[in-house]
Amino acid sequence: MSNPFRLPMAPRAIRNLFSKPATRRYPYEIRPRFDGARGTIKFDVDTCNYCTLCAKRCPAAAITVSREDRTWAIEHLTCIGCNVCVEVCAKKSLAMSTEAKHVHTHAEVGPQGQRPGHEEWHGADPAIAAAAAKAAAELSIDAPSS
Amino acid sequence: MNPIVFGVLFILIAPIFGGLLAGVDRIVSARMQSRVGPPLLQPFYDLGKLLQKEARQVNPIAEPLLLGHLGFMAATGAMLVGGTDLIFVAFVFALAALFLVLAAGSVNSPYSFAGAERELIVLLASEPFFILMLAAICKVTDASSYQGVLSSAVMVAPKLPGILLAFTFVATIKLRKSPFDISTSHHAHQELVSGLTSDMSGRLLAYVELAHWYESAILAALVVLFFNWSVPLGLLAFAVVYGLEVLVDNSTSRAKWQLVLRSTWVVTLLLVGGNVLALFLIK
Amino acid sequence: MKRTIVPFGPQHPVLAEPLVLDLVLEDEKVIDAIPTIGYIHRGLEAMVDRVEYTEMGFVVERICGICSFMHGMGYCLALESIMSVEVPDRARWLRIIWAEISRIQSHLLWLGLGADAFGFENLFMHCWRMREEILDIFEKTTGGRIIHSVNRIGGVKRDISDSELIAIVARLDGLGKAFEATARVFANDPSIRHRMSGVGVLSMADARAVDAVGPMARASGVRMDTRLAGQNLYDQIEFEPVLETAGDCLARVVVRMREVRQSIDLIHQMVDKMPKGEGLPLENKPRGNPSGETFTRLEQPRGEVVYYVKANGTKYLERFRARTPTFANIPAMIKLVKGCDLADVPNIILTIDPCISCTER
Repeated sequence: MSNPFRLPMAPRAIRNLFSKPATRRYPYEIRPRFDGARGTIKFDVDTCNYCTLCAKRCPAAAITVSREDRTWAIEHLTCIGCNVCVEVCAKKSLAMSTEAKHVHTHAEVGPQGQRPGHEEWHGADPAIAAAAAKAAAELSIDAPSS
Repeated sequence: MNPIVFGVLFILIAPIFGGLLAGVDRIVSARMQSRVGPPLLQPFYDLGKLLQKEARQVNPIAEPLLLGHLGFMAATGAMLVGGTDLIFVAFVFALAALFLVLAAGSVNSPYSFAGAERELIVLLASEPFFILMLAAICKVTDASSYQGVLSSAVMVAPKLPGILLAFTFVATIKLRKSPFDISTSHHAHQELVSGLTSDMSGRLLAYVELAHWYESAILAALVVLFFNWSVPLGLLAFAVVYGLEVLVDNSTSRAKWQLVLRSTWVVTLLLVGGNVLALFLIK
Repeated sequence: MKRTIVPFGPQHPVLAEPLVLDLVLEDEKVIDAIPTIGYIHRGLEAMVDRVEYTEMGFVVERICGICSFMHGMGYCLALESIMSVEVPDRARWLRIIWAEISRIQSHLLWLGLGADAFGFENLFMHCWRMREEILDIFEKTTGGRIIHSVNRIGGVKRDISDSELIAIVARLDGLGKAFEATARVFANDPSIRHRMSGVGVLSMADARAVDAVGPMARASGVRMDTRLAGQNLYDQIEFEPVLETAGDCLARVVVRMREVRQSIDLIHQMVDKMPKGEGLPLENKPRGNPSGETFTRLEQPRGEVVYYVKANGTKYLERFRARTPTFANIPAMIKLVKGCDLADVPNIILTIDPCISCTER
């Protein structure tokens, strides 16, 4: 057998001692994520037509959409980040951002009954929305003359 | 100065020394593994946390036994620098270690029990060496106490290089470093899950930790004995020995107890025996 | 002699997964080992009657966090064979490239855990540091470090551009060099030899008798690898399984170390052989619901995995089963544990590369 007092790891250990550590002090120093990394779902309430396809296809049933109430809601803690909703959305209202999912602490969640990770949007009523758009358009036409 | 003052000073300073040493150890170990490592004072934070936590006692006898372990460990150090007969100190040192074994063995858990058995084996491997070492030091300096050795005109290290080398080897056991951390390791990933301490929690574990800090301070004091003409040089030598231990800890895996027992005895016999023989022949 | 029973697990730091072994000890010799499994049975296979077959892939992928890519791929392959979907060429090549990358990832992870079990923390750190590079490649190309979600029935969702593929190969070559430094420690360190050499010897005859699979069988000299069957394009590249003959723990380490090198070489060949170009088709969407049954085999990092799928023409499958390699290797592990030292138990358990999540599903 070879020399029993050999320490093949020792030179490496000494070299490491005098070089920069490979680890990061995580919560204080966060590595930027790569482009295309799957993180949090972002929703654009203005373009959604409430077709509910994303809710149907979601394997984790994290999305609830109501066509009548024009609401779109997601449970970020249930979402598994599979990207299926983004793929099926015809209106491109959904996007996958690289931003890592928010970690909810007890202190942040607060008393019972709170729903951490729940995010909800209310789309404007179509009639009101049309009126608002019209008003805005009129305002911008009026603007130069006044 | 009265030697008893030294003893009291040891009891007060040793935990700070041991804790800081553990902190430096953690940082150096982490850097050797290319990690960042914890803050220097982390061992003290840990100790504070352990003291705050609830102590689950499986067997109520464990606490007095562990207090005995801590008390005798502190007493060993105090007696060592306080000028008690060195051979006597060696036996108190062994007694302190025995209390830990008893505390671990008092629990009916197989992990703790196996850990206690292994600790006994480890004691069997290391204790003869410490007694031989102190006896040899007394012999070459013609002194029987710590102060006696320090004030002796004979320089110990040049006379006992083999024993100093063997000390570096055996200290691995006492410092609980791999490859000889078979009964307890700083790292829980082993078959016994830090066997010896697996059933201790809260302040009970804090006693063990504190006793270990005393133990490292005692080892430092023992290295100083070899460099009896200069205490700073002795402490520097201890730093070198400790650095080597950390390096070996990070470059080896954990040995099995059979190897620990065999290799320690072989090293003790060869180096100590050879050294003592050489002393007789050269004289 | 007095016998003690050491409950090894379900919460044992050597193995972060809930395997339970009741070790019957005489002194420190293991006389008997009684395994219990089922602590993390999640009923994933039974979910087929509630989860549509298109969504089931994401569930199968989550059987295990280490071989997640291969699980997802195996499920898709099974459904594709039932539904007779022709998968575009580039997608097939991409799949096996990812599969080989995940094999490297798994082996590096295992080498680290193995080092950790025999008390070599520094080596553990270095193995996992290299694994981190592989996870970076995964995050870049699939979007996820552990759960990749790129496999769909009929193809893959993401392409890796040709320039990116060349960059990945270069990165793997660099990793291979760094790996050699670590491999030298595994091969030469006397303290590792003391712990691994001659420990837990599984003879070739025993390996066949207890039906060991994967690196476990190959370390005992059994020439057995699902990739040899030539499915999934493995017939188009030069491939010969890594074999060792010693059959001990060290041989199992060596097999996996050589497979890391082999996988890097295979990825080289795959990148050379695959059709190049931008915008090539990656997915042929299946039509209708599946009907029929099939067996699909894959060589996972831990050995052969078998998927059984039975479909009845509705959007819910009738039956789905996965026989994972760890399940097949448990009898071999029990055989080896009997008669060894308590100190060797972690080494033996780890050298089968146990994945209890896979085993119990």
